[in-house]
Amino acid sequence: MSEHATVLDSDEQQVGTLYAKALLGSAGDAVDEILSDFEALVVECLDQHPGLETALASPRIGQEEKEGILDRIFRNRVHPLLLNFLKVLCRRDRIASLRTIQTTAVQMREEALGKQRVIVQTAQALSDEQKATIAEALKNKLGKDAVLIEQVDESLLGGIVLRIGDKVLDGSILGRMNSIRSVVAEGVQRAIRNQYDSLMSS
Amino acid sequence: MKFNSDEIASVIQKEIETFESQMDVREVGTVLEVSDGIARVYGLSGVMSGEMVQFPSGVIGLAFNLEENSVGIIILGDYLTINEGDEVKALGKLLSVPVGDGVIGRVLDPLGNPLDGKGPVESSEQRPVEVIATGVAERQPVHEPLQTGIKAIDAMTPIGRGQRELIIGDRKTGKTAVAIDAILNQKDTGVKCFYVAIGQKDSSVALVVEALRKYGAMDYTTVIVSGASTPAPLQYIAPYSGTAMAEHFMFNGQHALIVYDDLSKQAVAYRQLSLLMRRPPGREAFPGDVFYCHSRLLERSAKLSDDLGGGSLTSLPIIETQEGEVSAYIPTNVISITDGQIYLQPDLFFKGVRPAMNAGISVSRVGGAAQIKAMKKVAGGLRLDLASFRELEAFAQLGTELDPATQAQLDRGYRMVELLKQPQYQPLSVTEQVISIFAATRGYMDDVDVGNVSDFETKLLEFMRDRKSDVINQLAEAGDLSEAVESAIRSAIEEFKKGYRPG
Repeated sequence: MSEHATVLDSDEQQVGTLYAKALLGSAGDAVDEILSDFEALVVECLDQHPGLETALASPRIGQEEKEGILDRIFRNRVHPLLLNFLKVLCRRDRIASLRTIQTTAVQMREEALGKQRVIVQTAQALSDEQKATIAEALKNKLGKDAVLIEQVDESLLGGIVLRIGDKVLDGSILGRMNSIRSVVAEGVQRAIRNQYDSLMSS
Repeated sequence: MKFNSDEIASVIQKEIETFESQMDVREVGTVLEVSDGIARVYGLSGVMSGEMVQFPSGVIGLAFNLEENSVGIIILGDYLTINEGDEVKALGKLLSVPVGDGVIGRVLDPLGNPLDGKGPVESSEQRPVEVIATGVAERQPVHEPLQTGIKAIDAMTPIGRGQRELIIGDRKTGKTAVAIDAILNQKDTGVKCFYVAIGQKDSSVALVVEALRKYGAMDYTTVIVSGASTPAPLQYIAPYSGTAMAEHFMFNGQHALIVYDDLSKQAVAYRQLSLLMRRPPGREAFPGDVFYCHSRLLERSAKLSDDLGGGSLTSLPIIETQEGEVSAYIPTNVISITDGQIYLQPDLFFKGVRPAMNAGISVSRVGGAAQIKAMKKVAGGLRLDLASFRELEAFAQLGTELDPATQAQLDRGYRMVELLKQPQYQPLSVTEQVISIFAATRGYMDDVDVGNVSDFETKLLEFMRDRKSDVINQLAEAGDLSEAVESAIRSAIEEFKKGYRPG
């Protein structure tokens, strides 16, 4: 869930999509700059200082004061358009959806560039060479550039699990063992039913 | 006695050797929230309506609502094992249940899992639970009778194979009893029976199963149970899965009878699901498509054309009314879908008229096509006679002096009412029914005391079976009341009456 920390609230997701679309639409050529500023703003500023977000979302602080805060902190540090966007969010009382808007905007940008996020889960960290092989294979298969997001999960034991959107390709040892388990359990049950006598030692 | 571990090991080894490793490709989503019997899932972007999904605990669900941002799932199993954030897997297939001879004689849940402790259902075939009913071209009109063994029904509201006859009435008016008698009477006819219990007390279902077992009906009957304590989704799909099992026989050229006991509870389960799914409520808070919920179910009962084997599926849906209110939403819906109804009334029931059928408002829209000729002849005007008797009876209670003709009609009526009473679990064959109704309508019972009518009938039928089996055989073979048969019956009854002593 770490990649989509906010994605579970579908109403907020809708708001996020709406604002992200507007942000990307108005960004023009500066879109990549704005998005990297936006990410930096969330990671370096809001995550470090949770008080700031509370203040911006607070109904007790007036709009002008909030805009003053934003101006003082971010003027000349972020793209002016992003600053304006933050002010709009304050005015519309949507600061709470900021993170959703950011992650959605990044995703939409990736989509527009023809990139596809792929979560790669393995039991051990991948080498650069392996990553390149996987990315190459995915590009051939999907026809899009794959943005690999790596996750290490030792319980997989081996193999690889790819998550492309809602689709999961499970080639892990764990997955294979689970299916062997159900097949064997079924087979033994069937054998017990059909050849009960020969399985019993008197 | 112990398991031989070597043998087991070799079985396991064989399974592993033949195991084909394939990349597991699946469509997944994440559980957003779980509540009574339903879950909302984010993701599953490619899932189709009605598709099966699986939760990590192995519980199966059905995609019910496809919304812009989420998918509404109905959970067919224990929803307490499901947590927020669980991964949901689309299985890419429709819900199916085991069908075929393996399900006969079993007590199953709506997913086809055994509830009778007799081990897994041995069946190689599966059939989807939701299928579209057969069309016009694949059907033929209902013409074969399905004998319920109950005199009042077979004589006045005959049921044909492929018909849908509603049994409606208040609580405790003998609705289930009528259906069970109909099942018992299918013994030795080759008709496979299915009893679907929806939202009933498990104790009542146990009694029904016990009765079916005691009278030997479990040899050809399947009981599908989703009791009052099972989650609403299972109660909702139970009739559909029962129908799938029954349809299998219909499409193989055989005959099946299915009892839905009862559809009011299924409607309530469906209402619960729909409201939890935030579908807009309509009349009595039922969703707008509750009519379709029942019509698509009952439409699956059919008499197939000869090209398709001529199989049939007859259904006896049951509806429980509140204080005789037939104009409530669900009763009117189901009345309009079915081909007739058997209306059971509490006041008749408590007067001792059992089955407590109100002949005036009970109808069968298939009518005489579903009766053998002999029955048509003896029972032709019975329903109207009985209705006019009820009117006269009310009039006679005013204490007015009656002319002899009216008095005779009244006397005949009292005897007919008495004759149509029938104890539970004692279905009669159609020939026996014809003989006793013949005796009453032709006036052979007019001089028998009203209190002795049932005694007269029992002894008459005993006499016919023991001494005049040739007459019974003749009637059964001809199926018609030809002059020869009629005079044989007349003389047999006259002979019996000479020796008849009440008591």
